[in-house]
Amino acid sequence: MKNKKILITFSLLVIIIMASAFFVNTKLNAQDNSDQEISGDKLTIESLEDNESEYKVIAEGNALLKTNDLEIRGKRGVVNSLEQRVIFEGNVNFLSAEIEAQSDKLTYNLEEEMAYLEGNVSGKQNERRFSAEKITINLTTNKVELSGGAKLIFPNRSEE
Amino acid sequence: MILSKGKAIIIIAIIILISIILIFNFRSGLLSLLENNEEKKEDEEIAKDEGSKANQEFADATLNLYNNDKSVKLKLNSDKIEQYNTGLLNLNPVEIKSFNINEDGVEISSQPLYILRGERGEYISSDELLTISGSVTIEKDNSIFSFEKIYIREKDNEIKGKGSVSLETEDFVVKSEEFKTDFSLSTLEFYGDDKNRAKLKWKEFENEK
Repeated sequence: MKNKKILITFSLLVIIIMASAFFVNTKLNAQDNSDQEISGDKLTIESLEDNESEYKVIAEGNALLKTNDLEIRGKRGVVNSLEQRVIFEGNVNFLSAEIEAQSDKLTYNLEEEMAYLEGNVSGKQNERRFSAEKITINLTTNKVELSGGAKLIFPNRSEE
Repeated sequence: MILSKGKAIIIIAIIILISIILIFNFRSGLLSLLENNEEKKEDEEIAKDEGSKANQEFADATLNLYNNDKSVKLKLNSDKIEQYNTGLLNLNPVEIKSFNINEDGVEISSQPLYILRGERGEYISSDELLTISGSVTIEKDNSIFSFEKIYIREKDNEIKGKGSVSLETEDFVVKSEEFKTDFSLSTLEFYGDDKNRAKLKWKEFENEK
């Protein structure tokens, strides 16, 4: 009987400690729960002259834009809050759950949820490989449109 | 007294748990004590080197710094300014209010562009260099910058921040190792190092909108 009491007390103690640890962890996560970030060797923030609350963020040197759904890498990336547009240049690498693509330049329209890649574009959607001068990716539907010297290669099939 | 096996395990587990908690508390307490001692030592050394040589002391004094084209004035205020033979000024604490000024040097608005605060300041007049350290902050509109140390170089119109640099605005939080800007804070540059890249994290979407 005494043993049982001790066991229950100890179990309660462990539960309280674990609950406290969980609470602290949750609180930390709550302060840091956004998964949209841009990083680089250097970040420059400029206010846009016409509107002080709007800004431009320029990431230089291994620029990386990360959201919940995608990652964009490049030499240089610019986020314009007024135009709701992101432009990446130089060895651009686009990665989402379904699509992986490389290009010279990428323009991401945040409002339309559209990405426009241009210049030596190549990549793959699931197992289908593609290349073109330009591609458009609808990030809501994951639809890819190729234009200019477009090539599409299906797995275990010849070029179409 | 002989304990049953179950009891013994429970007692040992409780002892281990309490030990872990005590070790963590002791470790964090010790670290903060060491940090405080180091800061005290540094302050004492500075005081030893320069304390006896101060030849003038001013209470609640103001010092003005200007950018190159004399369009921005930094109005520095300190409760205590000590002047040394070497031309060094020791300021304790430091508050700087920045103002846009016209050609006649008159403040365009009574509202400062930003307010910079720090625990300690050191101004070397020959280099036109003001160094501020100890929880340095800059408040501008709804944004707060913080640094470990900041260097204000009058002749280069440059403000440089170093160590645990952060900027928090309504929209985002920036973290980096170094920071550079001009007297009017028009363009903000954040630099990472080998370990930590400069990073901007947007706050929640709901907050953004």
